[in-house]
Amino acid sequence: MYRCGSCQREVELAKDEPVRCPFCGYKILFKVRSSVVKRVKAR
Amino acid sequence: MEVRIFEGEGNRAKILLENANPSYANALRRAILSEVPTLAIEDVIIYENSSSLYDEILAHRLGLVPIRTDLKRFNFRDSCVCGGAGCPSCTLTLTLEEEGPKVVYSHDLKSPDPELTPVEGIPIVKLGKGQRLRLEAEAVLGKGKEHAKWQPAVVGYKYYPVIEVNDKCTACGECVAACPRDILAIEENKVVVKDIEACTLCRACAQACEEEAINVKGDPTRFIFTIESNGSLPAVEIFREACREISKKAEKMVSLL
Repeated sequence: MYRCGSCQREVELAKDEPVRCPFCGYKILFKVRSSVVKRVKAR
Repeated sequence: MEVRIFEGEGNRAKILLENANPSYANALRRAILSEVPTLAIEDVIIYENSSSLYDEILAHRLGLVPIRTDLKRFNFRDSCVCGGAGCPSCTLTLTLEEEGPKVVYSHDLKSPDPELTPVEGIPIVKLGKGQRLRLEAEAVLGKGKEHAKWQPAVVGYKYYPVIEVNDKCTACGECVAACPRDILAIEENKVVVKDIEACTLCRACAQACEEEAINVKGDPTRFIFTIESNGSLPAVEIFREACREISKKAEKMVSLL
């Protein structure tokens, strides 16, 4: 679950896999925010 | 003790308390700040936040937004019938779903009740293009002593000013010029007080006088309270609630004795 820096596609990367977008070969990927719902105290 | 309301419009009030002592006035002031219940956001459930602010920062800002409160309709969470589960008599759930580019304001929070809305016009966060914010905010009753977000107003009080001009006055006008509030004037060759209640007891007039003809005192049995509400409750109601809370504490004390 990472997002490619150029083609914006969501990419799944396994452990020890090289860090590159399998679609466009771009080498900078962003981690996407977890889908877990967060409860925060407003203090 | 007598109470008289000077200005009671909405969020501002000036209230006169007579035949009281300074301890009581201070107790009222402290009660207003710490014991008057108010609604404020306590829990924020964040579904989506791609804004430039961390979840916790957003939640902190939301907590500080004043929410119009109806004290008759809510219980405290721990003394509620639902046992704290979060029912409509202890919790008000506001929702927010916005996408940039725009500024998200306090009035963008949606309330299930049109009378219990957040005070408008407070910026929460700026969203850029594509940035989204989706959350639910649970507002709950609380007191200022637990967290400042529940503080309903800012308060101050002063003694009722007493200004005496004696016969040594030459009407030289030094005191009139010295007064930072311009409450003195010269009439028929004597210095006269035009607006006694605006006096701040700074004594600039007494200092300016070379004859010791003007004397400024505060009356320690009469107090002028100035209350500025944040919008959660009307100023006069805040004063009333503070009186009630002090009364409750006194009764509790009596029952314990």
